[in-house]
Amino acid sequence: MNASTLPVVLEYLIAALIVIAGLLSLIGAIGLLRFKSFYQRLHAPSLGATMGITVLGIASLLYFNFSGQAVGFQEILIIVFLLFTVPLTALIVTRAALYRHRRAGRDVPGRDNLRGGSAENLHERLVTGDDIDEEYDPRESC
Amino acid sequence: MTPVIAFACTFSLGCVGLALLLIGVRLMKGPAAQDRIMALDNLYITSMLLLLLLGIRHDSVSNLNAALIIGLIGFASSMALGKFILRGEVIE
Repeated sequence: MNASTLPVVLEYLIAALIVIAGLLSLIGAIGLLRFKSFYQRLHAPSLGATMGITVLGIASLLYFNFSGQAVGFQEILIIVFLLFTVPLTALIVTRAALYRHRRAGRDVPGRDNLRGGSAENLHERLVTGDDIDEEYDPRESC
Repeated sequence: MTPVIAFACTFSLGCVGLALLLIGVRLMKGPAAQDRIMALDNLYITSMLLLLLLGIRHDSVSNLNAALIIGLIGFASSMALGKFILRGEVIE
């Protein structure tokens, strides 16, 4: 690529977007490593990864389309796909973690309203394990 | 490749490498299975980011296809792992 085809303003904009994407990904990884409980730990990397991919996709779209190369449209696919899949994965993993924590007897929010029970003895039911599916056999404890 | 974008790419590659290292630490020492699944999920997303960065760095559009395929397969594997620790089997 010859450097003259890219305007200077666009060049600095692309560089700033690339730096922001790298910092966002690093912040997400630090949050994944440093937070204490699982539900806190779920929070940072999803945001960091989604925003990092979005910002870097915009930077890549600008770079490839304004530098006179082949038109790249895959970034739009990547951004849209990731905006759908990252919350889905986080939702599934959170539901699995809630199920496992509730089955291990920890005090997590239960589905008492969906099951027709009242919320008064919620803590006792969670601790004593009244609504635990006994046929499920997890191989490891939480 | 202008020098400003080259410098930004080098800086951001350092950040992404450090992020991969930290996610690897969480993957190694995660206390439960769901922590490891979250670490694997973020590992593939960060590797997609690495591929996009290398595509800008080396002026190659074909890295974007590789990132797209990593996204597709990574989503399927993360969903399968999540369903596995949720229900005990992947396909019911």
